[in-house]
Amino acid sequence: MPARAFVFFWFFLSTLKAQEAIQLHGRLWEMGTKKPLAQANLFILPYKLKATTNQKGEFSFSDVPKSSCQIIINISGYKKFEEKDLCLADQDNLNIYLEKISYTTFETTVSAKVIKRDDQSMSLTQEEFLKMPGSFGGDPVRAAQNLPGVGQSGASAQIIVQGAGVDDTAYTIDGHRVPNVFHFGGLSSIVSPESVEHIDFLPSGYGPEYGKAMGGVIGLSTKPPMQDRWHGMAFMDLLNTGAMAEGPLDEDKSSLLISGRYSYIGQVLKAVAKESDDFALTAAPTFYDVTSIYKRQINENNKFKTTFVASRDELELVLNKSAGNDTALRGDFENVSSFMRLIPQLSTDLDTHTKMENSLGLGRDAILFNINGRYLDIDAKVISHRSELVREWGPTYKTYIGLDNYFTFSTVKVNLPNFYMVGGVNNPFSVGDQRKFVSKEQNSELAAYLRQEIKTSADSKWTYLPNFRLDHFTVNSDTTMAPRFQVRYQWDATLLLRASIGQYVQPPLPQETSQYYGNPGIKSPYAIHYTTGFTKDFRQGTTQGLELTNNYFYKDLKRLVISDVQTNYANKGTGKIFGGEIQAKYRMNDWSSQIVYTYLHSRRTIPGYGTTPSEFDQTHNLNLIAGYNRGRWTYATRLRYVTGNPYTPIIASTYDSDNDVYIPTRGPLYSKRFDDFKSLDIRIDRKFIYDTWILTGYLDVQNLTNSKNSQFIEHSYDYSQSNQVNGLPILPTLGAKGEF
Amino acid sequence: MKNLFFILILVFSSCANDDFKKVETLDAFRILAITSSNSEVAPGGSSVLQLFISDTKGGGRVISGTIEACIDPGIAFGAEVGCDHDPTRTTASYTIDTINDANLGVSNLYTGFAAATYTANIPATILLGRTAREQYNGVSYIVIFSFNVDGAVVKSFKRIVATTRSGLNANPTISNVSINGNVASAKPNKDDVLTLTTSVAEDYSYQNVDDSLEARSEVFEVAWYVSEGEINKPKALSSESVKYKSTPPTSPMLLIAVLRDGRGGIAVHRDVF
Repeated sequence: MPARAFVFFWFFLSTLKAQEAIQLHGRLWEMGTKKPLAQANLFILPYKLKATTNQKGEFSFSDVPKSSCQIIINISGYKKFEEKDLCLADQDNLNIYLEKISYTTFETTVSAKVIKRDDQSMSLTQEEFLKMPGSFGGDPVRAAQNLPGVGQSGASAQIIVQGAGVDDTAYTIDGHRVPNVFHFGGLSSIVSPESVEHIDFLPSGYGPEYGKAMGGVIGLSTKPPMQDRWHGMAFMDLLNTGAMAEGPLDEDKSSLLISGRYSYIGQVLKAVAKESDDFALTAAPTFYDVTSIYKRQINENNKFKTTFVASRDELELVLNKSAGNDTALRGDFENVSSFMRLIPQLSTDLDTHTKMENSLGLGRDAILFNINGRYLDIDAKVISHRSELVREWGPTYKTYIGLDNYFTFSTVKVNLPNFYMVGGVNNPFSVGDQRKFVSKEQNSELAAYLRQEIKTSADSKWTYLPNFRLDHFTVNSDTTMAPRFQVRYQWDATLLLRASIGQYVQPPLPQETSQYYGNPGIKSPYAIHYTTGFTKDFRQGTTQGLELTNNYFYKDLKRLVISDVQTNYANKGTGKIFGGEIQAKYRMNDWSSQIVYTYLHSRRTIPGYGTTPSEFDQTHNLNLIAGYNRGRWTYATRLRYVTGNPYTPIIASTYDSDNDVYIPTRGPLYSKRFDDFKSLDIRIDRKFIYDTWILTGYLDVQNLTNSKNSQFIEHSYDYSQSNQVNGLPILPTLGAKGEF
Repeated sequence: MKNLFFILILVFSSCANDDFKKVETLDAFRILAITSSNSEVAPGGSSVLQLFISDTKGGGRVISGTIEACIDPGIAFGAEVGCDHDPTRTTASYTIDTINDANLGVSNLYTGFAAATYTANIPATILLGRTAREQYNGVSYIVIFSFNVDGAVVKSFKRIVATTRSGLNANPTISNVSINGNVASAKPNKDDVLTLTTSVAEDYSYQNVDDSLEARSEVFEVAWYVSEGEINKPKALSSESVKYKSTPPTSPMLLIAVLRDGRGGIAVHRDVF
């Protein structure tokens, strides 16, 4: 028996030896994204050969019998790979692509986890806003409307924060103020979504590093460009087209991202408006934006990043008929608005406990509004500066000392009548006192702040934040010392309680302090914020389950600037905003859902008009959001219900015989409401995964039920007839995006 | 800056709602113009005011109203049109007899100048305490006409500007209205072109808020009205031609042009075909 076995074994070995051996060398990639898969095991059957990929995804087999072997790769999160006939010949450059079980929307960029400094702040990462329904193809700022406390913007096309006015909210990019975040009409934000890492929303009770806004702060943070290899993306939908490229400039130190978008919606409008008797588009409305980000790791302790953002919107038309029957509003109309910012940022680790951040915002804001020779032409050079020194003195004490300065050098050319508006109703342009002047101004907004995080002991559940901010505005020579106090109580690992009280001041608007147009004696309006709330995480350390956030807020508004017959503007207004909001996020397997609800009252008091609701007093604001992700399909839907905005009825009018216009007589301010806002939005994404790139087709439908959603009131020439003008009808956006 | 979007909304709302009544189509009682013998006067001067009204569907009636006259409360800055602020305001009554007034009556489709006039006497002290700019550009004295017609108040006003300026404004004039280049003598047909021949615009100077003196020329604006039909540009420059967009009625028809010089000067032309 042993002899027979020996003969058989000898025969088997000799058979093997007779087979020719081959070499297999190759790389293992993630399908679509071309990401190298490291530390993955590959098996060749039936020979039970095994290889493990290195950091570059490279693998190597030698002495593989030439045969119809089978290669098997089975990695968690990826579909199992099985393929035969790969062992028939030597292969020096075998590329194997593994398909993921599930792909996120924009796969080639990975959003970093947002580190929140303020407990009150809320953030949306790129992965979240790119697949948010109702966001016009993943626009970050529009997606922010799903956050608690964000109101329905109506015709203003701005972000409405907890019932505040549109001018009470500041917009920033990488911490530096920009004049706007939306292109015309709020269709899309001015930075391409793929270059934004996250958007932060600070509605109330925020820390001392944020200032010059008493209503809220919307901050866009750009992403660091990818370092691993060059990536690209291009998209096209019904509104615009754009592209992005990012990748390393050298081995491991610097990288670059460039993106741009161009909207051709104006060409569509021009075609539609061609036959109109009312106006003729002489140049189709267009907008475009460019974003560029450069990152360099100078050395171990110094990081450098520069963000460049430029945006421009243009519209030219001829008004054949007087707008609103106001003879001043006819003829040639031109509106151009643009801005650019170059934001160099240097981050330095001074030691293991001390960090320094310095950044500048260098740029230009320009606005031209011209209608038939009446114009507003603003050209402002802007320098903003932020510095912050963070020092961790020990486990119980941490400080942040910073500067937040903003300088403008502007030339303002004005030839406009005095513009009087109360209760959202303006008097005709023709009636106003004509103002024509050229003004060259230099204004500074200087601020310093101290933020402190204090614990009584290292394991204390209490954290105290006695913070201060000092602001000085040269435009009205106003200096404000604003204390801001926050306290946190970490009940356990899953429950955080918090409360804050603080003062928030902002400079008056430029026209309000103009010596020719406004009142140089205007003081800075401010608000006192009182907030409390909690966050409870029921997920027990997993990604599945419920997260609950509940906040309550009260804002006391002081020295609000209102139109005044005697002095153009006066600090005679006051206001109160109070309410509560809840956000419940639930995720289970392929499903995710959110309930976001805000209840608020926003009141303003104006002498002579009493206390009335404000323009954005939206009592109920409910968002129900659900998403389902399965394989290459993603479905998301949002149901939005918001109490109709108040408006001021016009109860009569007086004919101005000299100017041939009717001057409206206002009824009780904001005493009527538009119909409630209702919108059902859906978004469907379908991915097509190829070896080295991904094609995503998406359908984003806003207002699926075609609700009327009135946005403003139009009137007949003498205000005796009126009609609510509807907002966007059902609006499908079909798009495609390719990325590698 | 963010409020600029509101202006854009205003601009695009110019796409008129077709269900609303048309500004150029005469129907219910309206005041189309308040003319004055002098739109600018020296302090202490006076001006004679007269209403140009239309009541085409009124069927002939007497309409009574009131007059209030006072120093402008600051309408250009947002003040409500009224005289309650001025203890020296004057009041009077005013009656329009659309049947018997010489320029009205059924043959004129109850549209034309009301016979009654009102003389506004501007206080000699109106410029006291005013800035140099206000004295030069003028301070307005307003005359408000109010009528209660068919249950609604019809209110309108006119400014008489008191100024220290030497060259006072003169009313513009309309020589004739032309249809397709010929002096109008019959109803316009659909798509006929309407034009106006006017006096020459005057030059004047205006003191800006930075105290610079700006040389300006008047810009003549025309408001077109018809008793039936529509006009493509009911408010136009005097140099612009406009089109009558409707088939003319078989019944008598009114064609009216009201010319304004932007400084209170007004001229009215009326044709009845």
